[in-house]
Amino acid sequence: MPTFWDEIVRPLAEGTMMTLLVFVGGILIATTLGIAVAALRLSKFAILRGIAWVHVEFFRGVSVLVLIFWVFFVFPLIGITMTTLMTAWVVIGLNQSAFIAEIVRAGIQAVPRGQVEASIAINLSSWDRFRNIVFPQALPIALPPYANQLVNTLKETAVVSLIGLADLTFRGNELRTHLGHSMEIFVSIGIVYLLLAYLLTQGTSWLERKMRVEPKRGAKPKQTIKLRSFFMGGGIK
Amino acid sequence: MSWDWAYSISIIPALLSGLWVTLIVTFIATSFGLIGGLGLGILGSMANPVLSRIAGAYVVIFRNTPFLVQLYLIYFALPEFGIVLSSEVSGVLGLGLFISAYMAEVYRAGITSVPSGQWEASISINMSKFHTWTRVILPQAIPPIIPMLGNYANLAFKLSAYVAVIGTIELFGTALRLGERSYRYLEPFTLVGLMYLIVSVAVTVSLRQLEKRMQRTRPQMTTL
Amino acid sequence: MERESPVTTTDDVRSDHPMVEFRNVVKRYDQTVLDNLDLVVGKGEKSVIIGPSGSGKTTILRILMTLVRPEEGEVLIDGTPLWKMERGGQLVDANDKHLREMRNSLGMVFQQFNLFPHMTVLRNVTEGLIRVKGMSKNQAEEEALANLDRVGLRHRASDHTWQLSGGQQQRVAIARAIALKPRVLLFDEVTSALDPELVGEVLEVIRDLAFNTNITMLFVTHEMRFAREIADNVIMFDRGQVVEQGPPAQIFDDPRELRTQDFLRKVT
Repeated sequence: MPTFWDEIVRPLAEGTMMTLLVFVGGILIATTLGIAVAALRLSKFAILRGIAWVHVEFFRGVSVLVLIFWVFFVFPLIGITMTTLMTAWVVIGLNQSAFIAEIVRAGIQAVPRGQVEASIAINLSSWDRFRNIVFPQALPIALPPYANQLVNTLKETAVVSLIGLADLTFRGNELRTHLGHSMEIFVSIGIVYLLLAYLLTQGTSWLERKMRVEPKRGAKPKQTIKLRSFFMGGGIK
Repeated sequence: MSWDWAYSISIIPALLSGLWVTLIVTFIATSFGLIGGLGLGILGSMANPVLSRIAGAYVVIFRNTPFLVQLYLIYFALPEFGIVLSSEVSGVLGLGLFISAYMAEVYRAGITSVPSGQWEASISINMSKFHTWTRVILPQAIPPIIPMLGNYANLAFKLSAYVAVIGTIELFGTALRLGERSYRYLEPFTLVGLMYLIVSVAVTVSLRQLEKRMQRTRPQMTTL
Repeated sequence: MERESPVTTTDDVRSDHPMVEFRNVVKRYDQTVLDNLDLVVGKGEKSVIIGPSGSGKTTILRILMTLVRPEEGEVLIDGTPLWKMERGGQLVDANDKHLREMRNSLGMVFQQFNLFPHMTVLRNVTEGLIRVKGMSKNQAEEEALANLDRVGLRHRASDHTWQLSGGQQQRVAIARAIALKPRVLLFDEVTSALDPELVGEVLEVIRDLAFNTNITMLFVTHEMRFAREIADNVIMFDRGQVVEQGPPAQIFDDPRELRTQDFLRKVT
């Protein structure tokens, strides 16, 4: 193992910072855009719904890798200059916004129809209906898939290492070329990502618990319990 | 900078052969994933805590770390232990391992959605474990989850572009090379982007149709 | 239960329009649910609609509550068209503003209660008062508590809705509806989703409203004994049309139509 711990920990720490930077910027863009697109998807006007549909299908269908390279190489040619970081934010933001839009849409549509009808019956305006009745109930529904999407976004950030941003993956690769010991390096990097993912899911679980509208109904009894009695008592006779 | 039609047409053969490699890579990796995922899914549904936790750990590790890092591990780290794989094999292996983690979860959900009464009925007619799985459980678990498996096959297709990073010359790698050689990136990347998009959207739309048709013939099965 | 402060409405009894009128209303889903329906409910009248399931009874209420738009025909609330409005001397499809204005006269209680689970009992009732009637928080709470008192649930005001039994939730739903002082109250099978021992407390509240207020009420229900007790008019409804109607004594004791007789035999 190398003698200078500093040679390893510092670059990886800096890489982690960059990864987080890309992640936060990307998520901010993706979430705002995703909510807007979800709203369009549910609009009464077919044109707006269509635009939103195209956005979702396009950015879900295109591979992030291909998209980021395309933007990185082609945008300067058509006169748009962006820093590499901005490119990363824009591409990741656009790509993830498509997934988030669908999550938000599903959350809103999962609120029981009766809630909407009751709020019509007490004559709430459309905006009040959405803000006070639908949205507060859609949020806890959408949080678990959103948490999942956060982890996906975190993983996607690794792609920026290929266009030269010094994120965790980039630093890892760099270290490999200097020091070898790829197993140790990449396993450590894997652990960092796992830890970050864990923090993300724990954080969102905590949020979900704070927001829960009603106590969780009884969970379905685990199938594994039945399987246990099957495998312990049964077997090939 | 404007679009060079002549150049675009001239690179199409190269792109098509790259696409062919992509499809082969996707196919092999997806098959690997379907089978490996099934195995993991079964392990994950078992009562034995050791087995199910191992399967669970596998899924957590492969689903929460970037695919790129996994590829690097296989391609760069394994040789240090004497296992030297070509870039193509590394790519396919990496993609297969990654996708089986996703498919494992889908299989597991399908298996646990089979009513517990089916297990009990098989015990009551003294069916062997093996037959219970192959004749009773899996035939009920798998059909409803086919659209979801298809979605992940689609994911594999999109992710296959990453194997270019470790040296496999598939569709994306071809575009990179063409760009480097001719200094024109616009046409290769745009065409490649369109190819990925078209295939991906076509698959997504067909899967949705498939799902709708399955809803009609199996109204009692809920979607996952 | 307190009987003070009866909920009265500001009905102008000089106006000679019926409170609710359906003229030639047609509603189609896959088949025709309402078939050239004519229906009249007078001011302060308590009308009960009975009939087999799937006959379209609930659709009548849903059209009135602006949840569903009819294909043809006119629906009038106190002489004013509900689904159409006047613009430049012509009748055009009603816009959102007109619907919201008309809704001020209407209220509905649902079979599934549809209380807002993320709000307390009190807030369920004050929500409409604050957002629609524009009351301040204090005014709204005072008014809400008075209405909760009327349905016997003032003491549960700070609880969450899921902590209440079905009968209690439905009573809160009624309080939520009457707090807005509607002129027409619609009750859509409000006891059908309740366990039998909880039905009585809800009917008790409705009985109070029926006898002590002059709100126009329209019920869809299977509670025949209750219908006989409070109804001014009973309407037998089947396959999108009114089969017959009349005072409860007539419909229940001496039905003229065969379909009415068949139906009553099955349910009583």
